[in-house]
Amino acid sequence: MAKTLRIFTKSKLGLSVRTIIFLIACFLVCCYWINPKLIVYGYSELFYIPIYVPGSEWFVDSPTYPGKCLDFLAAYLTHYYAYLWMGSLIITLVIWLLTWLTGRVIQVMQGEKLFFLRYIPAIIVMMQNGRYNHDLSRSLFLICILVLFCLYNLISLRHSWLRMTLFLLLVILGYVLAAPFYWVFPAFTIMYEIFIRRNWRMGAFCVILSIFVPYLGSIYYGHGMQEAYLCTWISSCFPDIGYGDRMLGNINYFLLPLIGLSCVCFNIINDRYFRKSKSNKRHPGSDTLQVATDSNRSVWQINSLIGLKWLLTTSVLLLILFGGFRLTRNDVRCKYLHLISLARQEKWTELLSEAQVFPNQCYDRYICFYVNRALYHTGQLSQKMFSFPQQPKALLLRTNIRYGGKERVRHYSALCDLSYEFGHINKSEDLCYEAMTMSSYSPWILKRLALIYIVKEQPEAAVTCLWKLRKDYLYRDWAIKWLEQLEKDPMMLKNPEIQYIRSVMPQSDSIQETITARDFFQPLFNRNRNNRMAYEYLTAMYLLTNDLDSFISVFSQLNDLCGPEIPMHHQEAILLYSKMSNKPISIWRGKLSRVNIVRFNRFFKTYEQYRNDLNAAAQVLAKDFENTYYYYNLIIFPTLQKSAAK
Amino acid sequence: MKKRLYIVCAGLLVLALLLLVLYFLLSDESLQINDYDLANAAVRVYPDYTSIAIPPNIAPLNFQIKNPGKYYYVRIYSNNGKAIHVRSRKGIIKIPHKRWANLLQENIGAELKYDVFIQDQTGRWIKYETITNTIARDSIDPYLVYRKIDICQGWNIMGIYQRDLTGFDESIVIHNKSYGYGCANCHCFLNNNPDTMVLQVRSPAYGTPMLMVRQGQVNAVNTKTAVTPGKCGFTAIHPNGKIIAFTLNKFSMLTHLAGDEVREVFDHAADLALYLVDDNQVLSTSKITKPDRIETFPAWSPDGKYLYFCSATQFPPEKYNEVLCDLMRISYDPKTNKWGDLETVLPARKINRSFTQPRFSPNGKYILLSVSDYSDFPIHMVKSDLYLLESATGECRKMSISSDRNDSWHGFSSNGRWIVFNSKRMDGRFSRPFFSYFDKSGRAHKPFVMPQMDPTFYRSLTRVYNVPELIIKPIDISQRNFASSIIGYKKTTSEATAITGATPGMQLPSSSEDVQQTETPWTDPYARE
Repeated sequence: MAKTLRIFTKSKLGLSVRTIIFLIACFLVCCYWINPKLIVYGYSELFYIPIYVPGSEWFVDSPTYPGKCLDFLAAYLTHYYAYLWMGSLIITLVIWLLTWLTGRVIQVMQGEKLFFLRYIPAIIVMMQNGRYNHDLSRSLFLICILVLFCLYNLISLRHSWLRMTLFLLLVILGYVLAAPFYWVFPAFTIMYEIFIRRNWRMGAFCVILSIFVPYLGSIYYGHGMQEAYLCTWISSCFPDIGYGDRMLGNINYFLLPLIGLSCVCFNIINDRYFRKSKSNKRHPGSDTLQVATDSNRSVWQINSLIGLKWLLTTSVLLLILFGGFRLTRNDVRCKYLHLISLARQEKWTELLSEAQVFPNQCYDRYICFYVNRALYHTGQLSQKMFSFPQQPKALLLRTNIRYGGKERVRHYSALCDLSYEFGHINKSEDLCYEAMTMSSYSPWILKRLALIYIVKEQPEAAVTCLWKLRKDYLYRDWAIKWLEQLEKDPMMLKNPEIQYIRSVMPQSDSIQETITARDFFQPLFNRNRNNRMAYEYLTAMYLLTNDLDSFISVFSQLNDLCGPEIPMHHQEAILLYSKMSNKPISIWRGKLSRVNIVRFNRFFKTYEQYRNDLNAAAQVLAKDFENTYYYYNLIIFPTLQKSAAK
Repeated sequence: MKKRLYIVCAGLLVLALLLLVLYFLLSDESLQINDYDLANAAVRVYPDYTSIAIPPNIAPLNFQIKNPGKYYYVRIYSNNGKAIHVRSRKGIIKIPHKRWANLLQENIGAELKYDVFIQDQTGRWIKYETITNTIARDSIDPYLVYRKIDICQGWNIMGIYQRDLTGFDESIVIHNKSYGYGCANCHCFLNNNPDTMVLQVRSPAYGTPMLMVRQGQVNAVNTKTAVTPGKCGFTAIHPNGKIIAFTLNKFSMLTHLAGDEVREVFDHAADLALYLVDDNQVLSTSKITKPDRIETFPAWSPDGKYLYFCSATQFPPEKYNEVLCDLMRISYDPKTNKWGDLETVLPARKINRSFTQPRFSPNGKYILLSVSDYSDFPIHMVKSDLYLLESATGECRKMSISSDRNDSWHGFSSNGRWIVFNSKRMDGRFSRPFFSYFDKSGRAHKPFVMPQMDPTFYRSLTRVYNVPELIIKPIDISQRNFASSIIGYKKTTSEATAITGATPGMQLPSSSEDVQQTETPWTDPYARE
């Protein structure tokens, strides 16, 4: 037993087992905490991830640039994140390659004693993944550079000119394949030549060549000098994120050369100060093993000590991994992406239950928007919408887009889905085009576009979108199903969903450059008075903007659309309107719930007491009335307006 | 030792020869099918490459057989040369390039026939009606230049590409990634020759240069003057190569609430002007800068004496469907800068539809036009037809190659025997380049879509083609040169001078005083209400 333990811990097996444990831990972290699926479903919410476009279009149509191949590979692999286990496996594989290659570099730099450093780049990558700001291509660039350096070391050529040629070839390859991490390769090679091989001339030559290559690259690729030398992609990858995230995103770029340098420094210090002293002053107590052997301790004790050391280092490693990950993990973004992914998959009930535990202060207009859609689809918009945080303009996303491409994609793709459900097919089609051009490729938008063409009785155009989706293995089945249906029934006359949208889509054409909310809804009612979604959203919009007069006017005309009972928030609005305008509510009195009337009276009585102090009113009333419309109208809305005015 | 080496080498050589023989034996695609049933029906192929006239220098017209089957066999043959045999399990017929090229070259002017056999699920062969195409005597210009873009208003990526029509190679002329994702709009060439070309760029980062290529050199021109905003639209190069007619359009995109087509491009103002290349001057006349009219789509007559263009009454956006363009012309003398009188060549009221995009055949005998129900921007119309106007007689007729969908952005080849145009006929939404043989009698033959290596290519392509232009040789200016011209434009290029009687405060050209004394002031179209 003791002997086995000793063999296990002293040989490479111990290292391998530790690495395997580390990788298993990484895999589990990916599965349970990161959830790579969120990256795929929330891609337009994320700042930068490579997007896989099925077919060769993306590769052929855009100009070539250094790093394009690995960008494409990364996009392709990221595509597999849609499966939890597959995504986790890919990330783990990347982690393994990084660990193994960094270990090789440490070995080359003769820093075996600093073996612990091999895990650092991998841990950083895990941390980046935990913050959802890591794109796979950066890891692939890094791996590529490390492979090139290992190759340089492996092909040990004696003649200087052969070495130079090899360096030149590899450095060019490094630029072509992994330009954003280009400088890491010459940095390693120069360190290796100067400090390990003590070949100053070769080191100097490497410096000159590595400076020359980006210049050649600028000529070949047609980049500016600054772009070619500084590889400005690195900073431009994350245009909209905070300083901390950006630093974390780029840390490996600087960390790896530092690891190499640490090994070199360690060697120099070790050589100069310790090795000499060790050889001169070595005594039995200087080494644990020696101590144990010399003092004739039992073999069991020695091996236990080594085993303990192994166990300790492995535990420390796992502690660093979990600790680092937990400390840097962005929980809010994870939950946010989870909500977005549920919305993308139209899992409305699950979305609502997740939204209930999502922190109120983190609700942005998109979450409000998706929650409202979920409420509508579960038949609760007019019953429970004020149980969730609301923003007046989020219902129809009637906000100005001030941001770049990604923000536009989010905005347009959210709105095109909503417009489609309303029956505003042309509006939805228009938004789809804009979102599609901004996103390069988005299966959700393409799906929507295919449905739009089907609704508009343009099956051939729908087939074009479906054929494209057919190339995307995630949507292949969906596309084939629709293609088969189109083959049998090109106009989809038997499909109830399509027929419903056709029954609500406006038919009389007009041209509008800017559309007001009323202009948006009026054609829908003109086409089909029974457009229940339009009715619910219109009333919700009037409630959210505190336009009670308009609400009452629409409600009077169309309240039969909501069935025999008046929905909760509508009752609350009627009561409030009656109170504020001193108008009787006799027409609907019979339909109003007695409990509601009593509750409203109780609310209003307290509100009257704190009328001049909204904060105090909010504190007193929040507990019992936070989920009511009148609380929103009298307490929240004025506060929102004040903050908007500020 | 040496002997053994020789034996090994000889063995390897024999093995290589054997493999070579095996390869040739196995690569013979020919199949003897003696026992088959005749189907008295035409085979369904995609794209539709049946009953067409094809250029003798076109790339293989690969296609997909849509009829269900277990195995497919196609024999392509003509009067001379070796037949081509293609076998397929999935119905994808990819024709060997070299053999195809040889077959076409050996049979110019003859018929090209395709025997199509399909094996059904029971193993029985069925022979469909033979497809017969004609190999035209006239070659098509070997390159096609076009813009590829997503259907969009706020574009993201786009590029101008050139495609070798004798093969499948496509290369990027300029991609907007190299200049900050700006817009590259309508490119045009002088006599289908890329040695003289114009390309307008609009880039928020680098400005709005007009890229002009002359004798293989690219220059970025600043057309901004006191009255021109420097954003050119459509252009036409004078046959002398020294004058560029351009439009100044103030476009906006409107959205249809209902109907098949979503977008509507509306021109709030459009004027015409000339850029005199050697003098770096912009010239116009109030006859083609009327504030109450749209003047757009310039085209020079091949003799260079007339500037043809389309003109319509300027309406407010709500009357977008009342914009009907007449085809007009004005004479111009390049030596004296003297303008003649306006003439209406083809009034819109004649057919109560809008004439746009006039393009002359190289011999000047014909003018090809886009005709739509209204609008001066036909690409967004549900339907737009191709019309042919005989310039000598004024006879105008709808071309038989027009589809029931949108056909526009047309042009002629340098020999005038081929027409290229954009058409949405395949799916009604995404435009693709089509070619049609235009014979000596002025008859256009059934058009066919630009061939692709993968015959299903267009089925999944959601990008669209714009402004296809045939050219006689490839553009040999590198992407980098184009990009650096754009990037350096603001630093190096000075504004042009406006010299026009229509320009307030500007000196009149001495040679045209008599014409321009009557000029009314020209206002910047972008400043107009």
